Order: sequence, then structure tokens, then C-alpha cells
Amino acid sequence: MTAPVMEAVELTQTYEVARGFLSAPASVKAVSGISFRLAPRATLAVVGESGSGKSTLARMLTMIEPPGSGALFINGADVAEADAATRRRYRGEVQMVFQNPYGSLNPRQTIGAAIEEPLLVNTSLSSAERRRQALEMMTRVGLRAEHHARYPHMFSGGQRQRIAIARALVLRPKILVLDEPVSALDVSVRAQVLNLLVELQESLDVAYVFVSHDLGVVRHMADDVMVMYLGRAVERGPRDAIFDAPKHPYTRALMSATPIADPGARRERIVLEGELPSPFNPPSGCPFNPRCPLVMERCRAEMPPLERKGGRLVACWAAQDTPGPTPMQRQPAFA
Amino acid sequence: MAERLIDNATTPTLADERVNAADAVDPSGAVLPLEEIAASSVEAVPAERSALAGFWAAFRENRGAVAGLMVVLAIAILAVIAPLVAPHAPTEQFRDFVQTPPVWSEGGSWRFPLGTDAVGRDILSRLIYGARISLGIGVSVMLVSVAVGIVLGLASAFLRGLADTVIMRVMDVITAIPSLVLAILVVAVLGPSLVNTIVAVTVVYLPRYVRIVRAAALAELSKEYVVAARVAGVGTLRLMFVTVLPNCLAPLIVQAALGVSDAILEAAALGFLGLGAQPPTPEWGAMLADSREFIRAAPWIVTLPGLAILITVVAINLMGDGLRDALDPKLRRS
Amino acid sequence: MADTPLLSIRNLSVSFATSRGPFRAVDGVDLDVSSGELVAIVGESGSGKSVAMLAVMGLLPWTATVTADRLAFDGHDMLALSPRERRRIIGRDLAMIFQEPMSSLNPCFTVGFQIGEALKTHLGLDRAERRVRSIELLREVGIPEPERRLKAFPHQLSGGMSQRVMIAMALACRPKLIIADEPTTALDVTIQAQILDLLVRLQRDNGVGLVLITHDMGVVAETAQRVCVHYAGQQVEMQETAGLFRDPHHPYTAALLAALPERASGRILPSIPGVVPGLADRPKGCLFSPRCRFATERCRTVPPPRSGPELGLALCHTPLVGGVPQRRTQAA
Repeated sequence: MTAPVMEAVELTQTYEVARGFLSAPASVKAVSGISFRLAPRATLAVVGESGSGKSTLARMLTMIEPPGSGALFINGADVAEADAATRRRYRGEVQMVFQNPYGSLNPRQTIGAAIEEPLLVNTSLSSAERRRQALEMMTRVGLRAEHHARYPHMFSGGQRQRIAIARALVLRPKILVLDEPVSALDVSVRAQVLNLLVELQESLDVAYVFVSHDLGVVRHMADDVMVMYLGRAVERGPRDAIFDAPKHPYTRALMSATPIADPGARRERIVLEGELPSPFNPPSGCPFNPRCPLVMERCRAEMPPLERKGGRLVACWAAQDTPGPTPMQRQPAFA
Repeated sequence: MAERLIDNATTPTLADERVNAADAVDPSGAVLPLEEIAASSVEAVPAERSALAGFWAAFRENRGAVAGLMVVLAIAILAVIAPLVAPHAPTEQFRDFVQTPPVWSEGGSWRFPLGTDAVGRDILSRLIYGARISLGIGVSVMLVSVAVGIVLGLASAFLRGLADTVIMRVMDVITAIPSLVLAILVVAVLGPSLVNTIVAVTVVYLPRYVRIVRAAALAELSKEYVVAARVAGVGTLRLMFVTVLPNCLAPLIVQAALGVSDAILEAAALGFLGLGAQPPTPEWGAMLADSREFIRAAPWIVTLPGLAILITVVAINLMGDGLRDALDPKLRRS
Repeated sequence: MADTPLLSIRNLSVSFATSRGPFRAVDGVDLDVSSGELVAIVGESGSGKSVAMLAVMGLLPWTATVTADRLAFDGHDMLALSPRERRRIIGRDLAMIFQEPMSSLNPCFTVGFQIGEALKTHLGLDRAERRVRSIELLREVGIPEPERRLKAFPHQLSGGMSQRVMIAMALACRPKLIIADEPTTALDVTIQAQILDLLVRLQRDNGVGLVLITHDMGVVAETAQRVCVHYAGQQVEMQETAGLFRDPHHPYTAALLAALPERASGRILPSIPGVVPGLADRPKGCLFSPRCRFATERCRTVPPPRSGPELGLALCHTPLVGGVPQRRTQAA
């Protein structure tokens, strides 16, 4: 097995949130105990709804904020132990593309300046060389040289996402964290950007951490999938194992809730009751137990560990160690 | 409360989906397809106006603002070329022509078009030279307080914590004291002079710039492009002045333009109280003060400097309003 | 009832005055919606799908010019109504649900007050009646503990709850037609499933007409009976849902469906090149021709005619059957 370019060990992040003037601040566990290994040129998809902690995870992976506890290894080296200069180099290894292409580009910066900026602050290249590299990257993502001097507002959403990708890749990182990169784009443009990402992964040898809530896109892009719920990984494993036979009831609910563009496909539909519990006051035991259709006594008392069952890791007491899916009570569509 | 907090964090919004004509018109060069389809029959030619041209088109719609701008420009030009246009030196006393009325009144003459004051100085010349001082005070107060305001405001927004608290509380204290009282206080400590007037008025008007910069910077800081710049490795100083500052300028420019007129008024008030420019400097406020006693006998001596202040301030304010309309995209028509 | 549809639109056009000349956001749209019918309007941003429905509601800004051969709702000519009469219909017989539930509720007032407002204005109920009806409505949209929620302020509700409240408000006066503009776009998948189930159930149980505006083909496939596809302000195709997904007749619909990752087979998706035309680059002939795989010289120069209902009313010179372009028989 090739050495992973990125490895996360028990990453945890806790935030203190002020609650009014006199009450003591509450602590919220945004992410707890996330571990994974990312192989070169592979894609790990992180799936979850709002409040699942996937954005916090992305911030830790890109070193915008240090993890509360746990360790992050890049190319086998511990980020926390690196000195300032080395950490700077790691920064160049992990770059990020954001969800909203309208917000992630500085409106007062030309496209050329935006793409050259990472080179300007991280390298000592001459301005001619910076310009050459920026233009080369622009060609790679399907932008033209005359776009160099234009401002972001002159571009459509899809083109802006191309610009953001060019900017993220200009330092030739080994890892690209993509935070919902296509969810703000129209269907036809989404396909263009996904194709671009596939192509760039092959030509530039970059590994992706692909954060998304769209299972259709995830299934298309991912090698491995990690499903998060309330800051924890509930299921992690190879894409086909998870999509063909999801074991965690949350994964199954998520899949059945995702609309399929095929009116003939009438299928079992699990409509979850209620909403995400408050992270200030998470339920005891398994965080999913208040909404889980398979809930048992044990789920309310004990947190299930992330265990290997049926070819993937799953954190559920009810999941069985068989290749097939975990049985669930069946409900007709639109109950 | 908590649920809401979490929801906000990552609620996906479709930025594209706005019911807005301007959005639909989003002009763009056609994306180069990566696959086949080489010859698209329409090559997008964005008829996009430059930012400056767009600004001017919006500014021009407001007639008052254009008129204000022209008056301000005229006064500024007069101030710059004062020695060429003023008929006399501002401090030269024509002892034989004390309190000569303006040319349109009985007894006036073309030698002193706007008359002379109590010691025989030509009022027109003094007003023209006074424009230098008043505009000079206004502009320098504005420049100094904008510069200091940018530094303090950005520091406050970026450093947060103790620095933020200290800076903002000091600003609160400054705003809590009536502006004229504070200015008098500063002048009383430093002594009355033109430079000290500038210092005093700067201190008085500093809080508004600090607040504007801080609020704008905080709003910008929450945007994704700032995080994107951080991920790219941009350091704090560059983040402050290169990434964030240019995006905070629009409200600052409007406030700075309006601040010039406020500074002129404040300086005139200090001059009127004898705490600003000292005689015989032809400062408009001081001219008003000197001629108070002649308000019945020779009303023009007191009226004309007052009018000069009024016209300048109104013109700058009209221009400032136009700037606000043109720079604030919310007020702009699609 | 079948012969007089609830909402009837013929040749609706909306153009906006922009600083760079008029822009046609909606161009010749026809639509009939009967009671108890669920029609979806799909399209990308800039396709004019929201603008068309806002025009029906009369909610467009002053820069918009609305023209139509017919714009009738429940027997009223919406274009001829005075603003006062229109206000009486909107909110009572014709309700709308918006995309952003968080910003659609006024943060200053409680949920109970905001629901009560509609009940007071349109039905003239007194305080006690309003309270009873509000609780009934909140229960109907599946909000637990409705008595307590009446006193809640919008910021105390999650996105899903806010959208339920919005639906309760839309239902307050028992409307005949509900227009839902991307009602689930801002919500999570599991919450989206709840809200869609709720909308479909309410629509079926109460026999109201529902127009669902969306960009999500999956949502369309799972809910709608009939689909209109919009592109650059034009209605390019209208079909029964099953037929549209089985055999799309307009090349745009076909390309849109093929570009969905879940329907793709290979690693590279068959994407549609280019972008939706804007004001500056509107093609002369068919608006889709610059991006169309099947475009011919005629497509680039001559605006396409509308096909018959057997071809999904496709606005195309060479409508597809089974993915193959058909030579048009020169009948029209």
C-alpha cells in the first residue's frame, strides 16, 4: 500500500460559545475523533448535513485552525511538530476550493493577481515567472489568457469556480480540500466543473478531500466515503461498499432521502423523524438515537465504536457483520 | 438558538438563484468547453463598462451631486490659484477705505468688489485666501483621520480581544464628549494655532472613521475570500491592507467626503471662538468673529464669510450624497 | 373543472429595463394548472422560471414590463385587476412559498402573530379563532408542540421548522393554488425529504394546485405529475414526468438529464458546453443552438417553431425521439 499523503488521527475540535452576558460559556464538540488516511491521487468524500462538522474538519485539514486534539500528518510528518517555515511549506501542500464562487474571490482583485497571489507570498519567483505559471494554470482549467486582467464580477459561477480551482492548484499542492465545490452551480455547469476536477486529478497527481451533501456527486467522484453525523464519523469505507450496502441507519436514511432523477424508481423510503439535535446538549449514547428507526436500549446508554463490519467501518450497535445491508423497517414511499 | 446557530454555519445557498434582472444579464465570455464543441456561433463580447465609467454614470444621474462637485472644484481651483485671482493681498490694510460696501451697494467700487472690512482689508481677497485655509483644514483633517482611522479600525477588527476593547472604548469616550467642547479642550491644552486646530478637529472626528473601517472590515472578514487568502498563505499585514482594505473603501470614501465639510464647520467654529487661526490669518470663522460688532453697521462684512462657509459645506454635502448613491450598490438601479 | 384550469397563462413575457437596454427574462410562456395538479418548472439560473411566477403574483419590481395574451387565475384576469383586488386574491386563493425560509419570516414577530396576520386580513377571524386555527395549521404541517411554538420567534426555529411555518402560513386561508419557489433548496437532504412529503401530501389531500419551481431533476422526478423545462426565458418542453425522463424531446432536456452524475456511466460526464446566453450574446435563431449537439445552420438563424403535444411541445427544429433528431414535416 502506498504511503498516505494525508493522515488524520482522532481529530477533535471543541468551541467555546458565549451564552449571554452572565451564563458560563458552553462548549460544543464540532468534530470528535475523526481519523482517515488519504492515498495519493485518491478522493475521500466527506458526506454530511449542516451541523455535521464537515466544514470544521475542512478548516483543520487546511490548517486554518489547529485541531483541539488529535494529530494531522502530511506526507508522514506531524504538522503540530513542524516549525514555522516547515508549516508554511505544508500550507502549500494543502489547498482549498470553497462552496460559493461568488464569495471566495476578492472582488477587488483581478483574476491574474488572485491566481498569482499564492506564488507571491509563498515563493520567491520573479513576476514574469509567476505570470507564466498563472497563465499556464489558467489554460489548464479552461480560462483564456485575456481573462488575466479581468475582475471576478465579469464571470459566471462556473467560471469563477474554475478561477478558484486554478488559484488553489497554482502551488501544485498534493491535497485539495473541496468544500461543496459544485453545490452552488447549475446542473450543466456542474458537469463541466466535475469533469475538470477529474481531469486535473489525473494530470496533476492531486488527492481530493471532497466535502459534499450531494450523494449523486459523491458517488461519481469518490474512492472512499466518510459519512458524518453531529461531528462524528458514523460510517467510512470504499464507495461501492457504502453505496451498495449502507450499514448505518443514518447513511441509509440519507440515501433514501436523496431524490433520484428517475420517476420509475420507486423504492423504500425512510423519512427521518425530527431534526439534528442541539450540539450543546447532544443525546447520550449514540448521537443518532433520537431519530434512528432501529434504536435499542443500548444505543441510549453507550456510544457505539467505529468498528469494521462487512468491509467498512461503521459506528452502530445494530449493524451486522455481513456484506448485505442492515435490515430496516420498510415504509412505502410518501407514507 | 443553538439549532439555528448550526444551521447557519453551512446552509447551502444558491447564489445563482436570485430573481434579479441584473443577475440574469450576467455577461461572460463563453466558457471554453474542455470537450468537443469548438466553434460556438456566438463569442461572448461583454459590453461591460469599467468600474470607473459605471461609477460616473451613476453619479451623473444625481444633478445636485454634479452641481456640488462643480462648486467644490471651482472653490478648490480658486484656493490653489489664489495669488493670481485675488485683487489684493489678504492682509493689506487700505486705511482710506475702511468698511467700503460691496460694488452693488451705494458707495461701492470695483476696486473692492465685495467691500472691505473694519480695518480696510479687501473681503474678496480674504475670502479667496480663506478658501485655502478652510479647504486645507478640511482636507488635512480628513486625510489624517482617515489614515489613523484605517490603522486603528483594521487593528481593532483583526486583533480583536484586548486591542479591540481598548481602541473602541477610547473612541466611545471621545464620542461621549460634545465635539466642540472636546475641540476647545484640545486647543486649550495645545494652545491656539492653525496646526492645533487640525489636531483638535482630527481627534473629534476620528471615532467615526475607526468605526466605519472596523465594521466594514468585520463584515469582509467573515467572507470566504478572506479564508481563501489565508489558505493560500497570505500573512496578516497583507491580509489587512491588500485583501480587506480595498473592499472597505466605498463607505469610507463617502464618509471622508462628508467629513471634509464637518471639519470646515468645526474649524470655523473654533476660529469664531478665537481658538483657531489667529489674526490676521484670513480664516472664514475668524473673519465672522472679527466682524460680529458690525452686523448692523456693515452687514456684508459678517454675511459674506458666512455665505462662503454655507456654500462650501452645502456643495460638499451634495457631492457626498451623490457619492453615497453611486457607491452603494443597494441604492443603484439594476 | 378539467376544462377551465385554475391558472391559465398564454404567451407571458416579462422584460426588465436595465442600464444596458431591455432584457427579456421570460419569453412567450404558456402554462395551465388545474386544481389538484402538481406541475414542476425546471431550469437553471437565468431561465426565468421564478420571474414568470412572480409575474403571476404581481410581485415584480417596477423595472419589469409584463405582457400576456391571457393571465387568468380562477376566472380573474390578473392583468386587469386593480392592485387592491389583486391583494385580496393573493395570500387567500393564491399563496407562495419562498426559497429562504430564514429570511422569509419577519424576525421581529412571533410565529403565532405572523400566521394570525393572514387570518385576520383575509378571513377576519377574532383572536381566539385565530389561535385555534394557527395551532391547527402548525399541527397540520407537522410541528410538534404547536401551542408552545406559537410564541417562538423565527430565530429560535431551524431551517426545516421555518419552512414548515412558511407552509402553514401559505395554507392559512385554504388557497386554491400554491406556488413553491425552490422550497427545499436551502435545506438538508433529510429535511428536504420531510418537506417534499409534506407538500405532496397537502396537495393531494386538499386538492390544491401546486406549482413547484426547482432546479433539481431528482425533486421533479419524485414529486411532479407534469414538467415544464425553461431555458433562457423560454419554455422549451412540457411533458408528463414519466415521459420526460424516459424520452426527452428537446435537446436541452436530454443534455440536462445526461449531465446528472447519477445517470452517468463513465468518469467524464456528458456536460453541456458554454453558458446560458445573457443580454449581450443572445443568439439569433434558437437560444440553445450555440450549446446544442444537433444544431444545424437553420437552428442558428431561424427561431424554432413549437412542436405538437406528441413531441412535448418542444421548441425545436429537430425534436428528439429516442435521442435521435427528427426531420420536421413541413406542416406548420
